[in-house]
Amino acid sequence: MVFEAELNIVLNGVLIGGILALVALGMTLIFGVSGVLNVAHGDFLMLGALTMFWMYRLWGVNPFFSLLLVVPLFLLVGAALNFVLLKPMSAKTADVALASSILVTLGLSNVIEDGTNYWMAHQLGISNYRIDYFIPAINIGTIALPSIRVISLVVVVVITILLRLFIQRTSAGKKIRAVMQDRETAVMLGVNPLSVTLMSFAIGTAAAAAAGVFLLAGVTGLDAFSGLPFTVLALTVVVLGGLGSFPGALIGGIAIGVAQTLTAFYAQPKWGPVSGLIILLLVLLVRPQGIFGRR
Amino acid sequence: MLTKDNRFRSPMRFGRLDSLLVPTLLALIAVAILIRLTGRDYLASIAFTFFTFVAMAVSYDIFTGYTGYYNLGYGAFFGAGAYAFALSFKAGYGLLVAVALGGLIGAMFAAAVTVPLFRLRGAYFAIGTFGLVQLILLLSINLDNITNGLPGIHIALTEEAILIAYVSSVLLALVSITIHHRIGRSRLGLALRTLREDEAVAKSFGVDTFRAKAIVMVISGGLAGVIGSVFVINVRFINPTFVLGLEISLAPVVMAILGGSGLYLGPLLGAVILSVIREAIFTSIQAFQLLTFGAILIFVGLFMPGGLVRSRLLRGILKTAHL
Repeated sequence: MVFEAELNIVLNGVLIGGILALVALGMTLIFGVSGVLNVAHGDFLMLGALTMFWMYRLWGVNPFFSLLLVVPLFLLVGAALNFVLLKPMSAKTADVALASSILVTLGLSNVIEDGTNYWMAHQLGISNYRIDYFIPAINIGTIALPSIRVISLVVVVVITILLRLFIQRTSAGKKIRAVMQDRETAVMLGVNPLSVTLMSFAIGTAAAAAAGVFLLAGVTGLDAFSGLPFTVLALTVVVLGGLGSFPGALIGGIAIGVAQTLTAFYAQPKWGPVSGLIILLLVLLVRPQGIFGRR
Repeated sequence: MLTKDNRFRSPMRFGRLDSLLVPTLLALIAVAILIRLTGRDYLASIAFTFFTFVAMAVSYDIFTGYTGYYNLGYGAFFGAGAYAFALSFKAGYGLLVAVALGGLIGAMFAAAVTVPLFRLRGAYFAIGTFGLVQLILLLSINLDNITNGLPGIHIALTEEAILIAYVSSVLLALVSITIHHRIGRSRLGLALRTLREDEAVAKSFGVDTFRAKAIVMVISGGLAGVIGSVFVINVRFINPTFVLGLEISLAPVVMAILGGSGLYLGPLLGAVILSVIREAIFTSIQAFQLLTFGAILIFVGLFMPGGLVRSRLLRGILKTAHL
């Protein structure tokens, strides 16, 4: 078919966008609630993917079913991260809290990346994580669509909708939104800020890890140093959509995903990542608060 | 749970420490000469790295230490200067001209990004500058018809050039320290410390905050460009990850934070410690450089927000030494 290539590119772009949105949702959730800009966020994506990689390799677990372990595991990891960052978060002013949380999470990112690289590449000799999971393509008429990507996209959309429902409808979600909007007032009205922060770290980190699973299953291989580029991409999405904005993260994610895939297709693959960075810098210059952000 | 923020405490509290400029410079010169006299190439190469680290950390801190803005983009000026040097030297310019070009490009690049970047505050500034390094890194990889991409460029130099690089690294360290110290005692330094506390208030009192920040940014960027050029002379090789990778672009940030930002002694101390760690660990195991950086960032970020210079331990030692 003539349109098959184009259709696949758009599908790929939207899937990458959806994955980015999931990562960015976690990042913006954590930032909105706690004021921590988690530079190690992308590394939890990498670690989530790595967990799936090992489950597939050791026990042959289906990548999508591995989410049943990855998500609870990274809820715990996120909770642990919350305790590590308690001290920077309690700094006197928001600026200082932000700066020291950036330093600590940047350090954490370096430790995770270098440690993982040493363990995987130096000791086990695996420097690129890929899985050979394959299911036959879906045929609609004469167009063949890669089914892993289609399924990933569907699951990503479902997870995003569930997250949105959780935030909008449940009591816990309302507390999260209350703290994001006005921490002091929320605390005065009886919201426990510590439990809300804990919850946002757990959910945000698990979302990043789940995104990693889809990325490795449907889009690309990863290595120990893949985390930071995705942090930068997620930052781009978050800055584009506005720090702390949910719809902004979704729209921003898909916009960046499609922009990258189109650049990679029409220019050269190597220029894909550059387009994301240029968008980041342009947005910072033109509208630092993002599309949906408030000053 | 309020913690006391002593990160940017006024340097005036360290009046005596700060007056050690001349002894510090003399000690550095003595170390440089002594190591050269031993005639061992291995020691000289360690010393070169050490002086380069000192120059990087202190010149990075000329901006961040006084303004309080985390300039994670220092590496971009360093890398741009290094490439400007390598390409112009390759094109047939003399060594000195090429180094000067490296410094000029670093300074001009820094001046060019002041207009957009100074619109950003706090975390946005850190994100923007961090994005800048990543952008330059990707460009230096992708524009392989100019930079030769990842395989890099080898530069043919005589043995003399190594000696020039060594002397230059020492001079750059001394110059950076002196500038850092002079700014701290100048009107400009006062303006910068004021805007660090509260930019809006500083502005309302008539401080031209943009100009003040731009001056130190350009000085810092220019020095970064020259240091990058000298770095390339010493190793006679350049490639994107070598001059723009995280290991090198984060090094000055880590050293300044470890030692304590805002006083030249802080980054200097950070450079001493990191050089020692580097020799102790990285020569035997290649893998743990980033991990060590990360551990330092986490530890200092959590437990010593002001860096070593402001830690209780060091102040105790100074007290007993009656300094």
